[in-house]
Formats: sequence, structure tokens, C-alpha cells
Amino acid sequence: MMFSKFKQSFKMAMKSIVGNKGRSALTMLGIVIGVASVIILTGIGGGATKEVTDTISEMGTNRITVMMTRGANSSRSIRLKDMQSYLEDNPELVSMMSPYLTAQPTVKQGTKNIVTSLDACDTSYEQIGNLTVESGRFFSDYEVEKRKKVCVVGTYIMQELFGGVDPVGQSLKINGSLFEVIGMYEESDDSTEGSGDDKITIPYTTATRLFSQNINTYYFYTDSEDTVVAATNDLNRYITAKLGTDEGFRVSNMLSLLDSLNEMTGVLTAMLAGIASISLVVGGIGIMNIMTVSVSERTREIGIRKAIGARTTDILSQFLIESVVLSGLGGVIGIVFGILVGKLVAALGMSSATQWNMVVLSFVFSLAVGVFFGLAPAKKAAKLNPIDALRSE
Amino acid sequence: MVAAPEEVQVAAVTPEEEIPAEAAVRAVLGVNAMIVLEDIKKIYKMGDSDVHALDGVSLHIKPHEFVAIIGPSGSGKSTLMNMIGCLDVPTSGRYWIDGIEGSKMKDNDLADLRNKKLGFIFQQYNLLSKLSAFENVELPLIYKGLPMVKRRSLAEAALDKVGLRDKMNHKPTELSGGQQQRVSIARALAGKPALILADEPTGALDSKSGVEIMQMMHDLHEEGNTIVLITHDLSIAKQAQRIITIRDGKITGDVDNSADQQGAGNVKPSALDDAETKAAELKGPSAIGGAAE
Ligand SMILES: Nc1ncnc2c1ncn2[C@@H]1O[C@H](COP(=O)(O)OP(=O)(O)OP(=O)(O)O)[C@@H](O)[C@H]1O
Ligand SMILES: [Mg+2]
Repeated sequence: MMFSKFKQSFKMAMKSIVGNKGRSALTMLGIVIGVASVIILTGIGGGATKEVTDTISEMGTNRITVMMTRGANSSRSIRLKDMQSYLEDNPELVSMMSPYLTAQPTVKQGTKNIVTSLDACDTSYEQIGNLTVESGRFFSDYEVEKRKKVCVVGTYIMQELFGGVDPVGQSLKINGSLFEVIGMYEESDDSTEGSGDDKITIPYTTATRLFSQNINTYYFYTDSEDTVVAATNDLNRYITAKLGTDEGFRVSNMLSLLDSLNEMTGVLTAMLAGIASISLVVGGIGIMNIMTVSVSERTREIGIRKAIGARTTDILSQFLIESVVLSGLGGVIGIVFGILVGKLVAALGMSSATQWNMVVLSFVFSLAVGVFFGLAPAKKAAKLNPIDALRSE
Repeated sequence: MVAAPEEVQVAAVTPEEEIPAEAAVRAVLGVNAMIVLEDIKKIYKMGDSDVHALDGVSLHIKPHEFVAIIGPSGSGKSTLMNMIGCLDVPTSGRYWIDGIEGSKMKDNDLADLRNKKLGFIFQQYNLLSKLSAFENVELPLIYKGLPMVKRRSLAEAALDKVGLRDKMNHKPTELSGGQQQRVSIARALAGKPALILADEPTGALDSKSGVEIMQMMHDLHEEGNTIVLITHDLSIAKQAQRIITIRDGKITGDVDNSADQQGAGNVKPSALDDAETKAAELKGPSAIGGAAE
């Protein structure tokens, strides 16, 4: 009996929705727009966050940077030997270490020359720096030890200096010294000037002599992200003890950078979510308007139904089902639409990641708004004397 | 709770008396009654002044009666029908429909009462425009909670009776005025109500469709239905067994017309004349009092 009553109310509600397509579409529109904009905007916010996180993860969240801030030639610099013994003494904290220095030398091949960014490091940097050699190889421990003049180049160098031909086995001049190209990296960007492909890497031992510069940076690598913070703190203590001061150097990791960036993108996401919820509320007001108007339009219908014996609960369950179906359907269309637009945005090159918790939240909210505003005016009309409802125009 | 009309006997009770409706009513007066109204008043407050739409109406209508209520515009006919039909509540007074006291009932019980005992025919048809003729007729049966098979057979039988079975899938907008009124008659009688209430059922129709509708009312009466028909047209009123005249919210005449009763088919054109001028022909005390106003 209960079920068959529900079935009848459901049938009546469906008839009413299908019989009033224009009104139904308008009611749903508010919800579609509200839900879709929440999904799109939080998707863009989430995409931005993900992009930042991914970039940093790519750079390596397992990496710790020790940097001398007083200049590498200062007497208060930590010595390479100390860093090497730290690595040996703390295998449970750190697994790899590479001295590092960077320069902007002129690189020449034949008559062509360019200025590029040079990294000088140890062999372990291939893994620490997350580098992938596509052709040839990275330099060896032997080459580092013997200060060999070998280099690995990015694809921009190949384009500019070697006319797009694989340069492995060729040679070039860095600040006038002749180097052999032993490897080339996989394209990481778009092989243009200033991009990630505009680079050249040589052993740090070769570089200190070539540029007469001391090492001012060391990269440590931990096997697990879990030990990054502990290793950072321990290195800080170690260097402070060695130098007798806690100034003139900095030990940092990507995780703390990631945290502060996440905080920033979190603010961005919250802002976008705020804008989106405004549109959800505006959509809700739209539903309210349509529902209020349609109920007063339908007061006569309610009067007729009451005259022929509908109870207040019959009327209310019909309107309740109508608004649940309309807002639910609108919510689903909004979700589909929002996800599709998110995909389109992603296809256009902007990043977008659908935030599923927001999908659920906006759907529930729109359903609640639809049901509330669908039911409240109907409740008023259902309580009217049948004759007053019948008389209304 | 629901007694067959024949068993219900209604008393003229003093309004103050507190009585359990059916039993006491039956006990006091030896008359069968489908409708009992007792000193019904309906007062509309219009600013400072009160409009007495019904000013102390008392009335008995027996089962199987065909009653016409006639009176000029604004006299309170529709207000009276709305009271009988439980569509409106009186300001004061008590009333019983088929032995059930409507004046004491709650909203939902009134809805059930309308659903089970009453069939309405309105001047403006009051069909739901989005539903087909069949669905309109089926609607009161749905609210009655009947299963689908039963609803279908009852609704089809009712549409058959008004000769619209072949048009049952048409929407009201696809039907003529007369056909729409026939759908509303089918809707009124589908649930086999004890009482059919018609408020100017021919008011919006041309005379030919009007005659058809009136023929249907006669048929329904012959089948044993109780009918209360409201009109301001004397020629239509004359087709009823009993003519009640109402004016300024008061009953001013109550005539047994069964001797003169005219069928729908044999209404003479002269009978379509102005009701006011013909009013004098009505026998009985104070027929349409003050008609020559
Ligand atoms: N909702 C209302 N508010 C105020 N006054 C009302 C209301 N309904 C009816 N009236 C008044 O009550 C009186 C009786 O109205 P009613 O509709 O019963 O007349 P009627 O006899 O049906 O007239 P008609 O033949 O024109 O339909 C009229 O004076 C009318 O103005
Ligand atoms: Mg009227």
C-alpha cells in the first residue's frame, strides 16, 4: 500500500516533469550551472596544485640541499671531505651525495657559440637530479676522479651546435677548453633556449679547475621521504658543529618547499571554491524562484487535486518527488558537464584535476536546495482550502 | 463509519446540543437524508463590512433526489455548493454528508470524504490540462488507492457512459467545451459517489451541448444518483424534482417540482427566457422573493 502510493506519486511527478518541459529545464539549469561551475573551478584549482606538486616531485622530494651562503671561497665553508664522511657515517639517513656547482659558460662548436647553463656534479647526480640519458652515457667515477673533460648535453645544444644530429662522440669547447660529448639527455621540455633542454653537465672535479671555483653546494639523497626531515636536521647539527656557527650555510629540502607551496595553492583552491559556491547559491536562488512561481501557477492544479480527494500528503509527496528528480537530474547533468569542461580545459593546455569530494558536496548541496525550495512553497499551497486554491488564477 | 444512505436518519438538532453525529441524528428524526445543513453561515470580512454569503441556511436533501438550486448572481449558490462539497468551511453551523458530520472533520478526513462520497462538476470543467481524458478520470481513483486494473475498468466505464471512450487519450485542449465537460462528468461519477454536485455545468456551453449535458444528468439521476445542480437558468432548474431558491444568502423558496419536471429533451425554447421573469411561475411560498428588484 505504502509502496503503491509512492509509485503513484512518482508517476504523477514524472508526468508533471515531462508535461512541463520548459519549466523543468529552467529549474534544472540553475543546478546544472551551480554544480558544473563548482566542479570546473575546483578542478582548475586542484590542477594548479597538482602541477606544482608534480613539478616538485619530479625535482625530487628526496633531495636535501646544503648551500654555503657566504661564497664558496670563504674559509668558513664546509669541506668536501666532511660531507663525504657524513655520507659514509649515516647510511640510515642518506644514501647518496653529490657536490654541485653551476656556471654560465660560453660553449663553442666550430663557428657557432652559445651561452648555456652548466651543472657540475658527481656521478650520483644522474639519479639525484632525476636525469635520463637518451643517447650515449653519463660520466663515470673514473672520469670524475681523473678530471676528464667530458660532458653530457641537452637537446637544445644538439639543435644549436650540431644541427640536430646526435652529438655523442663529437667535441665542443667550454670557455675555450675542449670537451668530448659522451651523452645526450632525453628531451625534457621543448628544446628551446632557456628551457630544461638548454644545459650541459660536466664532472665537478673538472669544473672546479676550469672555473677556479670551490664547491658551494652539496646535494644529499635519501631513499625514503620519511627520513628527509630527520636528515635535514641532522645535517644542520653536523655542519654547525664542524663550522662552529649556525650561520653562513643553509640546509633545505623540497618537502618544506612543497608544504609552503601547497599552502599557497590551497588558498587559491579555497578562493575558487568560494567563487564556485557563490554560483551554487545563485543557482539555488534560481531554483527557488522557478519553484515558487511554478507552485503559485499550480495552485489551481493543487485545488483540483484536493477537490477530487488528494490529501495534503499526496500533494506534498508529488512535489517532493518532483523536486528530488529535477535537482538530482540537474546535479547529474551538472557533474557530467563540469567534468567534460574540465577535460576540455585540460586539453587546451591548462591543468585541471576533478576534485571528487567537491563533486559529491555540490551534488548534495544542490539536491538539498532543490528539495527545500521545491517543498516549502508546495507546503503552503497544499494547506490552502481547496476552494481558495481553485479560485486562484 | 460509512453507512448506506437509506440507513441514515437525521434530526433537526439545536446547534448547542453536543451529539455523536450518526446515531443521535438517526434517533431523533425519522427522515432519510443525504445532506443536512443546519444554520450554516459564511461570512467574508471585506475591510470593515461583513459579506454574509450564506446567512443561516438549513436544508435537508434525501437520497436519490434531483435538486436544483437557483438564484441570481451573487446570491450565494456557489458558496452553498462549496459547503455541501466540503471544499470550504462555514463560519458557523453544522452539516452532515451521508451521515458524516463534515463540520467536525480534519483536513485529511475531508479529503477522503470528498474522494469517496462526492463527485464535482464545475462550470469551468477544472480538468488538469497536462493529463489525458483517461488520466483525468483516473485521478480520483488513484487518490482512492485502487489498484491499476480496477482503475482502468472504472475509468473506461465512466468514459463509455459519457460517450468519450474513443477520445480517452486526448488532452483537454484537444476536446470541445462540451466534451471537456463530459470528461469532468466521467471523473465525477467514476468513483461511484453518493452525491454529485454540479455548479452551473452548462454555464460555459452552447445550448446544444447544454442539452446533452442535462440529458446526462437525467440519466445519472435515473440510475439512482443524488444530484445537486446549481444554476441561474430557470429552464434548467425546471428539469429537477425540487427547486430551491436562494437570495442574499438565504433560502427563499423550496418547491416540489416533480409534477412539472421537464426532461432535457423537451425543454421549450420559451423556457430559455430570463429566469427572473419566469420566477413568478414557480408555485410555493415566496418564490424568489423580491425578484422584481
Ligand atoms: N472569497 C470571497 N471573498 C469575499 N466575498 C466573497 C468570496 N466568495 C464569495 N463572496 C461573496 O459571497 C457572495 C456569494 O457568492 P457566490 O459565489 O456564492 O455567488 P453565486 O450565487 O454563485 O453567484 P454566480 O451566479 O455569479 O456564480 C457574493 O456577494 C460574493 O461577492
Ligand atoms: Mg457561482
